[in-house]
Amino acid sequence: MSLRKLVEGECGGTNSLVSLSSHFVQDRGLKDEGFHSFPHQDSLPNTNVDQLVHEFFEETSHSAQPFRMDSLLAEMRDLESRGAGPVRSAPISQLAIEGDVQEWAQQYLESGKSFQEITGDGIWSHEDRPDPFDSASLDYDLGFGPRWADDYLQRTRTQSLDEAVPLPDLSNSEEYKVEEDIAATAGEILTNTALDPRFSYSKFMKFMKQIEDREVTVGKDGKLNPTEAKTAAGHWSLEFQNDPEYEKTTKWSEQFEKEQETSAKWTEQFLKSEVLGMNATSEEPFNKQLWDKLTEQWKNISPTLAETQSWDSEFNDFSTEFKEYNFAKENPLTNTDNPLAEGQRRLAAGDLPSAVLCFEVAAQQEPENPLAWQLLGTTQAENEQDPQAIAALKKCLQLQPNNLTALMALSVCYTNENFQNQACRALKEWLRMNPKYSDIVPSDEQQSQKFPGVSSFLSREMYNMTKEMFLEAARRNPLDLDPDVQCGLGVLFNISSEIDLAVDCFKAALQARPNDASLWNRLGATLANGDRSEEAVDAYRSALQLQPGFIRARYNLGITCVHLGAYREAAEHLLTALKQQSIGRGPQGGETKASMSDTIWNTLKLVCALLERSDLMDDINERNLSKLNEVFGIE
Amino acid sequence: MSQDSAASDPVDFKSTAVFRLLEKAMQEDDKGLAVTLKGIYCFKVKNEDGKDGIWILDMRDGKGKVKFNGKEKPDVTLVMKDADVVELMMGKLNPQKAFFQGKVKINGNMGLAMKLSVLQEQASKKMEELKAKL
Repeated sequence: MSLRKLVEGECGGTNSLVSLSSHFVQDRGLKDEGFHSFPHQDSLPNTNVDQLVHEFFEETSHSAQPFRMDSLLAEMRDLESRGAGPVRSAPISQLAIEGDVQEWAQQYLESGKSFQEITGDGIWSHEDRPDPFDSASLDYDLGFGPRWADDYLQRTRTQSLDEAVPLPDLSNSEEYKVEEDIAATAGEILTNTALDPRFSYSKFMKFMKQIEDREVTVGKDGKLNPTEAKTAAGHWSLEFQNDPEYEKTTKWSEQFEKEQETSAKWTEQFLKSEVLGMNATSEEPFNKQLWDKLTEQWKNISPTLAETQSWDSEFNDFSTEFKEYNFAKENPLTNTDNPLAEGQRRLAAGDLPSAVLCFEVAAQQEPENPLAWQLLGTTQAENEQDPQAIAALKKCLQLQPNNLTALMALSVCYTNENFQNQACRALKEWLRMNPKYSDIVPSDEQQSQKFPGVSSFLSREMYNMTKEMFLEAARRNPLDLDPDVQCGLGVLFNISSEIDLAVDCFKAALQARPNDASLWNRLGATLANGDRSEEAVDAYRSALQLQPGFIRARYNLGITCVHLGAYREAAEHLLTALKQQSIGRGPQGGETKASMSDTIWNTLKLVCALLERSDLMDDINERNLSKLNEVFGIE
Repeated sequence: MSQDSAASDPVDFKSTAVFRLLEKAMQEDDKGLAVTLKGIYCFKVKNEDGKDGIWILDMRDGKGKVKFNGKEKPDVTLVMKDADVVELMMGKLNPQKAFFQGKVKINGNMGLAMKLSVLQEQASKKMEELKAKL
């Protein structure tokens, strides 16, 4: 453990072992190169290396104001006043350490961002200029004229003018007369590489320049020595070129160049996009025309829809799911006389699946009858088939937008399927269509589609608004409360998971309608979702007493049993629900697998997992109901 | 199921159901989320009676296996209360928050522990299916 602490860094800090090792690694290489004997005392304390390097970096990072003449000029004068003495450059060893690989690379990338394309000769010509800060040279420095400057000044992070700083001319200094050949070699290197802009910014070049200007001399053994400059700089520079560092430098400069290319590409793109933008504006009238035409056509195609609903709400409805109701493929009740009445009879008898089939027949025979669709929707909801219910209810509302029962049922279905936004809209619509409360909903609501209905995400604003409106409706007649309003409020509180309030609402609604099985079920579901499973069971039992074939309540009871840890009972309830769904299919009683709800099967699968009956999984996947009924002892 | 420790019985824990659901979710998972975890989690759960239960979630082969009182050597051990496990796996408790509130104590590979939200997602998806319908 202790070893790990040594090796792994603490959060935020470097760990001791690594920093220790880096110490050794850093120094050893240079010692091997023979730089170890470099004298470290400074002859000129005010120009110590760190300061110089620091200055160099400082200058390049004076980015925000690229033309900081005053400070630069001051610095210049400073340098010149100092110029009488030898300015000692950074010792090479120090340079190598300071300009550690990463930092150099960084430096190159940085300067690449500044987008400074200086042609090879340009930079050297500065040296000849008496005043390097005249405006012409600066323009040249930027290289691309005013347009480029404008485009890129914002991005420009570094504007290194230091290259233009002329180094103090030391040729007259008697004390430091340096052998001509060193300077000449350095000069030669400079001129050879000057044409290549890649080298313009390398520290090596700067160093060479310094040699040429006799600021620095090179010792025989490769040591840098300001006082005794006796030997071949050529030899040294050769060494430098052979040095792997040199190759790296070249690589960096290549990178730099690439960087420049990409920035050039960017500008091109930028310009292109600008051009495109121009085109777009010119195309706009055409687009508008096209759009208008399309809208016109759409209106022609569906005159009824355009009348009843605004264009974009239509779009919203179509972009959500549950567009189309899927009728059962083989409906054994197709030939039933007066299917609507027959369906209602079966519904009253508690045979939900048969009722569904009857209503399907009715809806197919009279597709314009909203009642058939409404009953189909509400029955499918009780049959634990929410997606189908939503489709049917929407169809009903298309035919009859003010069908309050359908709107309320739709909001419940949406809540169950977690389409909270749509649920809220349906509830608001319910209020608007209800003659008792229509004045609560602001009339401009229909036009202002502030809340797009495409996503199921419900904004707090929308929710609060709907809730306020319902509370207002509830306050209307405090003595004679409207169970429907209470039910709507209950649904709203369910959406916001304010379980206790929702429970109160449903209980209030039940006081007015104690024989409404679906209200009992809603109360039970709310209690169950609020971790009040025991009370929920009572509510479900009341619902099932009123309507034994209430499949949704049976399913919910199964789920509550799961939450109470009674998995076996849960499985029994679920299987009962499935059995009811499958045998209710018409007089023939033929079992059709499609008629059973996927949700119930999925829940049953979970319950079997909780029972650790993985041996039953295959039967569940095959939907082998009779086998499962056998296992769980259900007749 | 092994019953090595006489003191604890999975029936005493609310977490039992959660872990079973989680296992189910892992088995059905087709996105291979367990693959991203690749490790052995150990949940040391203390219930209200002060009894300890240990669940081992073995995710090495990309399919989640859950064992009560498993003996595998875990990469990370999470010590928490029974009720907190349920909250965490149902998505009501943010793993990071739980950690900073001291509800979860973590020993071992922190990186694995940080991926706990993947497990959480899996379990809460399953719990969502057990929601009563209005």
